[in-house]
Amino acid sequence: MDKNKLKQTEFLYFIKSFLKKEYPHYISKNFSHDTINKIKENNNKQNIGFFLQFATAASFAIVTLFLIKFSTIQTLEFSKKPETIINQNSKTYNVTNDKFIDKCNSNEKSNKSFKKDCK
Amino acid sequence: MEIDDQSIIRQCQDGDVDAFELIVKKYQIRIINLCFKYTKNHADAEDVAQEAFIKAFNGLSNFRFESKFYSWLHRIAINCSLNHINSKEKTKERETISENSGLIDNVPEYNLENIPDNYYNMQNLANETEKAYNNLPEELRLLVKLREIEDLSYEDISIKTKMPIGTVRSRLHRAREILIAEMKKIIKNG
Repeated sequence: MDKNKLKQTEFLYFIKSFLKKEYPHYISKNFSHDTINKIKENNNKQNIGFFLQFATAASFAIVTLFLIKFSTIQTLEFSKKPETIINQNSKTYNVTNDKFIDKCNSNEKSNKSFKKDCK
Repeated sequence: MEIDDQSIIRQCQDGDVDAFELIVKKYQIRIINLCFKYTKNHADAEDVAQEAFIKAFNGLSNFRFESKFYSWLHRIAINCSLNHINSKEKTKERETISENSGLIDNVPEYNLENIPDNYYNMQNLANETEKAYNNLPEELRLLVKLREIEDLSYEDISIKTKMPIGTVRSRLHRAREILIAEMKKIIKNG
């Protein structure tokens, strides 16, 4: 802002208030300058505050993402052993005594005892 | 030379802090004087006035030009003054002061001889300005009176003095320049 214009403005409004006889007994020569500096100071503080808030939020988000990624999702590990193939032709056994039932594995599926014992 | 509040405020709303200094220069006397009526102390009056200007600046984004800027600023200054009185009163454990009871009619006398260098002695400046005003040519003095004391518009002055509006403007400009030059001299010699 042009200093000369500021001074002219200040004096013009001094004159107006003197002619209206509405003025304080004395005022600081630096009042307006100090006021503007204080406004700028407050603005800077606010900007730093916003920056800190943003930085805090961003770091919190990063830490949270990190924790979510490494604490809940477990990576799949594959066994080096060859995959066991389920034997489709395994023998039938009695689950109560763990004994194979030969007659159920025989090809004579038509007789009555097969149907009864091998259900 | 006269300042249009609206254009400056729009500049401030766009983030130009320096433009606000013109507003402060324009209204500082009126606002400090207003605050002094409440605080009854010059140092406090300046502090409260400063707070009012800062609050006004921070609230500029909410200013919608529905009222005059000065009316809005005036209201902020009164609120700041009342808050100041109330906070002082609270510390003294007295009852809260209402808006009007904070005002005083008679300003107490101050010792004007020991004003620090970084302050304007307004009483002295006012006396010298009055002398300069009285020394103005008659036609210029009349125009200054109509415009600055009676707050008439250029159009009204033109009608009242039967002068073209351009002449009113140019003569007022000349009168102001004379008075400002005189004030500069007073301050320089002061």
